[in-house]
Amino acid sequence: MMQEHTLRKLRLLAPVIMIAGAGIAQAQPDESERMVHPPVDLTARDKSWDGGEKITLTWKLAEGDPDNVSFYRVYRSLTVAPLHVRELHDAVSDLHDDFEELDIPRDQLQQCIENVLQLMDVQGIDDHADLYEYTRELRHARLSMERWIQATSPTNAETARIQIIRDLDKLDDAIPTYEAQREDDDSETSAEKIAMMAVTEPVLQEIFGDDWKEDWEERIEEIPQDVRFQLLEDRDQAEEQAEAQVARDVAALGNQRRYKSIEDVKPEEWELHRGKMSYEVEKLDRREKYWFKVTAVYVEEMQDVGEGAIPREYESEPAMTVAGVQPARQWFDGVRFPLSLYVLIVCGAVMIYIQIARSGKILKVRTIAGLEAVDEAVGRATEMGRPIMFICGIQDMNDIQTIAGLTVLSRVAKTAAEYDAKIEVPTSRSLVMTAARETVQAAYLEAGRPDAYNEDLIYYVTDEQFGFVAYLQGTMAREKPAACFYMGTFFAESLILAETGNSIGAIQVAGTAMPAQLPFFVAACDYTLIGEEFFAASAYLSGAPEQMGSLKGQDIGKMVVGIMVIIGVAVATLASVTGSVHLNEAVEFIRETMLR
Amino acid sequence: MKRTIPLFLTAIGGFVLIIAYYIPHTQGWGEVAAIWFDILAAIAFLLGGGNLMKIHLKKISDHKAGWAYSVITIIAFLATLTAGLGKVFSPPSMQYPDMAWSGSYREIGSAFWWLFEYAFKPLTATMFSMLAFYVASAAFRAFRAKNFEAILLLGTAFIILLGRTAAANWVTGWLPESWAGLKLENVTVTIMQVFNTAGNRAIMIGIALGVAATSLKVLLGVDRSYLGGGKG
Repeated sequence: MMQEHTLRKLRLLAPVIMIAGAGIAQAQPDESERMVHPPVDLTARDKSWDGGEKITLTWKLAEGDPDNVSFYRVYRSLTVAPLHVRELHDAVSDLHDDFEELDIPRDQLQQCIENVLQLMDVQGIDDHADLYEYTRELRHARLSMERWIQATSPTNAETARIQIIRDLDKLDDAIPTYEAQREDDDSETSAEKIAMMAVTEPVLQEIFGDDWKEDWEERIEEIPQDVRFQLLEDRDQAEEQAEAQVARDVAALGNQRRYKSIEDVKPEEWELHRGKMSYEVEKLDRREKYWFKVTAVYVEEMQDVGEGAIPREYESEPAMTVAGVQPARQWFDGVRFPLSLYVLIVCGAVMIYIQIARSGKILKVRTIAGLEAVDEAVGRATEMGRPIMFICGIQDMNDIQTIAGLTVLSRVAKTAAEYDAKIEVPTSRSLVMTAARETVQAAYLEAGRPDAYNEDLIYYVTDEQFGFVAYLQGTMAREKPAACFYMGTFFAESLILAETGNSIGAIQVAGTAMPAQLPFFVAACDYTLIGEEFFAASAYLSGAPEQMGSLKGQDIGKMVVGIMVIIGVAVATLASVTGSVHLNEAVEFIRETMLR
Repeated sequence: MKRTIPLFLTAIGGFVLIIAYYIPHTQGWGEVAAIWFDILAAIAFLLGGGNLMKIHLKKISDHKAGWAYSVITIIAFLATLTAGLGKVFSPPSMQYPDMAWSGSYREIGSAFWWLFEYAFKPLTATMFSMLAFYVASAAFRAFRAKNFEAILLLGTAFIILLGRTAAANWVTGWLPESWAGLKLENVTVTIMQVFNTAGNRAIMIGIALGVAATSLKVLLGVDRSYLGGGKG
């Protein structure tokens, strides 16, 4: 009786409960609204005409983009082509070398190194047991190394530290690759092969016996027609089933493969219009195969989550590439084709103008105050009876600015020889010292004063940046040179040198192509050769027609640059205003190909 | 001949590097050329060390101004060389703990490491820290309002200095959002990103062209002044 009463009550309350339930359901966040659809039709292909380190990914935008997609997350496989056993062994040797170079506290890693060395004696990795040992020891090494890196900060071991981290990463990635590839090899069966094995083989065996493989193709007519039809029908059916199974296997293998996220890319406005986007994966190893996956990600807006809360990310199922793609190296790096074209134009123009100048045509060049001041500075030093100091920067002979500095030195030394002034050239590199000696000696010879040449005035100080500066400061303060020339590559020392020269009242001429140092030289020196003026110095000072021709050739280069800048700005502006897909593609081509 | 061979080597080296840049299959050539340069520079290092000794010993013997510094230089040079080459107090490597010289010369606790950590590094830091004072004195001189350009420079520098400090917020923080572009921190960003970048890029383009033309002159042997000028 009591139960009946309760049931009646519940029946009366049912509509109320249902309405309340619906209300609660509405108040709860609707998860289905936040479901992010994956991108589709992901394809990966090797980028043509490159150095073999890029792969282009293309995919169609996910359903609901842009309202339900904040960006796309690109992953690339860590488990790439199998690493050869020898390579793995070499990598361990590299690791060993790293340990040798690094100032590692012995107590922390001694055991680990011993274990790795012991494993190095293993002559190959033929089974999973060896591989497991490597994995275990290397992971142990990694943990120890990370702990050590956190505990210390050795500046003198920086290079070795970076190297060891890289080698550990390489090994860490290589081992699961090896394992995954073994699985990959095992599952490498086509749908046809499966169908053949499942359906056709048993029937053929039944009809022709155990030696059916020998000549079944010739004896196919012996099979009754109805059996043959049935066989073909069964085989087609089995093939369909096998295809589905292969697809499932590949997907499963893809899920097993280790991936790392490499970039979050947001589609541009024009890509949204196009409904498709592409991304170029760079810095790949051409010896390896890569697999990719892309997911669509939605990130909650800040206003939705409230202050202080962390916005939640919703990531879609991935779109994956089924086959591995290997970047290939081409014979010509097509990405650099626009640059090669431009180099040809500039170099061609320089060579043509050199020929024009050689034919006797007078070429006019504007006055460069800094170079006109060379004679003035040398004359002043002569009058005051003080030396001239010439510094060719702090880089070696493989730096073009050092070479440009030496060409100016040639002229300054010749003038100094003519005026009988003393020129001192301290250098921070031994090779620069040797080259500077040759230059100054030849200049003295040309000036007809070989006897006045003193090679001891061109000397090596030190390779160390601030050691060199300290020496120069001391020398300048003691000897008080009347003129100082700074021609070459300079870094933080530029202002220290120029201010010291200024404080002793020397006339100072500087020339560099380091944009960050130019303001310091401009502030502290009397004359500064800015960028291209510095490179023009040799031609300007020598006045040789072929050299002047090269300056005119540079002007053609400037015109080409000017035209390209105007075209680029116009196309980018139009693309931005109109949102045209073609114009945006053109902008991307200019940015990604021509300006690279 | 003395100049023809260096010119020939320069041209070969230069063109090999250019080819290696455009043809991926020849990238190794460029690396080989770079290794050759390193070998050459390493040999030249001996030349530099010998020259250092010669110059400073001569200074000491002639009692030239500042000869005492030359004494310090030679002592420091020899002490560091001995500490490095002799691996003084350097513990043996972990692989060969029984061999006294098997450790790295830079091992923590070695004499070379000690010199580097407690002599070289502090001295370098001292030199670098002087830069702050030089920046102040150079700025004081550069920003004197002598003419229109100098006034423009002074005004810009003033805005940048203010914009990069907390003072920017005190001065223009009260401006409404619709005038946000005039806030000093935003003006600073505009100056740096638009005017400064434009000027910098113009200089960079000039430099790139200068480098290309100079390189070409050197490779073709048109400019030989770095070899002492004259005809080959």
